Amino acid sequence: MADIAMKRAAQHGQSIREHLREMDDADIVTSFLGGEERAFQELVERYQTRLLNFIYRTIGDREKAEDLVQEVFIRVYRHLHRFDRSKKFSTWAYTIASNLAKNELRNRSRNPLVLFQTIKGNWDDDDRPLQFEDTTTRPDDLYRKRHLRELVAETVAKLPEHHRQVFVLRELEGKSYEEIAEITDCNLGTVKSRLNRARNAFAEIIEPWVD
Amino acid sequence: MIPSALHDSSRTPCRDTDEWADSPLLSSPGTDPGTTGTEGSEIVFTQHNGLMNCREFRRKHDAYIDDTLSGVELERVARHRSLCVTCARLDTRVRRSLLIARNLPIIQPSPAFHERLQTRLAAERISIQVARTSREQLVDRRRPFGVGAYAAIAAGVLAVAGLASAASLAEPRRDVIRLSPVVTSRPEPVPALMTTPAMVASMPVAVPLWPAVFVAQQAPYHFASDAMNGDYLAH
Repeated sequence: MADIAMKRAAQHGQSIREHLREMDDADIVTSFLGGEERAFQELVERYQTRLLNFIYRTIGDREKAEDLVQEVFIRVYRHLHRFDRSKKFSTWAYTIASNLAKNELRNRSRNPLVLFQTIKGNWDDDDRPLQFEDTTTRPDDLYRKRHLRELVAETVAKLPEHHRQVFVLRELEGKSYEEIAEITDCNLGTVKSRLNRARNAFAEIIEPWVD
Repeated sequence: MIPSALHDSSRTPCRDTDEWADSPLLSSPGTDPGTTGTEGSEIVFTQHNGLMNCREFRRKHDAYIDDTLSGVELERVARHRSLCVTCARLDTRVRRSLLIARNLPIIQPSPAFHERLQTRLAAERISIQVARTSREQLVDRRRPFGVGAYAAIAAGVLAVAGLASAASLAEPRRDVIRLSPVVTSRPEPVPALMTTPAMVASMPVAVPLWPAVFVAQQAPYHFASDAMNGDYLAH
């Protein structure tokens, strides 16, 4: 059906890319499996930022997060023919991302590395790298924003791993409870209780810094 | 101050005494029928007056934040929140922290991300192609004949099977003769006579006949009968 729609779109002078943009995920997947390679690019464009933010907030390392997002897309590309099309594509993609993030955290706990962020705070003034002035924003705004962003990232990182994932999926990605249950392979009750604990813990940790 | 109502076992204890001491409960006795406690200005949350206690509030707090409660429940939770300082504080704290988390700036992929991904996808495409080709070659190597030859063989086998089935159908049908069931039984043993000529002949001349007959009557019946009818006479 997606193929017919594509042909019609081509006949009406609409570019295929524009048409792909109007399609939903399921039709894009069908189109890709029908041999339209450009459909995959549409999936990448739709999900790259979302998955990057999800993984980044779960593992707290931006470069690694980008690597993992690439790995997600490679796996999607490799196994898309096995994807159960009765399910939501986004849930499947997030499940892959979630598993990769979990593996990364597990590997990290086995081979602990000293992260850049942790040593950054202990620098002497002489050793601190140069930072250029950003003239576009007022310094206090910038400081406040940056401070808040770091604060939230640190607070999220302090949550236990399974609470963190549920919290990020719900609060930062806006997923439904049912989707979170599917992504994390937990039942609905577990998701609810984890989210409740995560919300309270997050509020408790961040409260003194916000007031 | 700890309200005395807390010690009443009929009420659901919804907080420990420290929390009670920490959070004075507000009330407006005239405007809120059913919530006026016996302790003057304090409100007692019981199951009977329809008011939600703190435990229930906390249990439903997530749904309250997600705005998924029914109208009635929403009203009850909101009412509790307006009356309980501790729960109101908890609600404010959680909502404020979530607001900060939800407004976190979104990070974008780096400029090199797309290029790197395209390179990796191209490599993946090639490896999939190579894998597919080698799989096809392997299948070809395993097949000594082409697809046409296999089709011809299959057609031949089908033709033979068809002929065989046609031939079997053409044969005249024979009726099956059913025999009546045969019932077998063991014949009843015929008691041997003590005065058979063989027995009489086997007796020594000098032995009187009466004890021999007596011994024969004492012996197992079948033994005497079998011995006389079978092996013994054969010898």
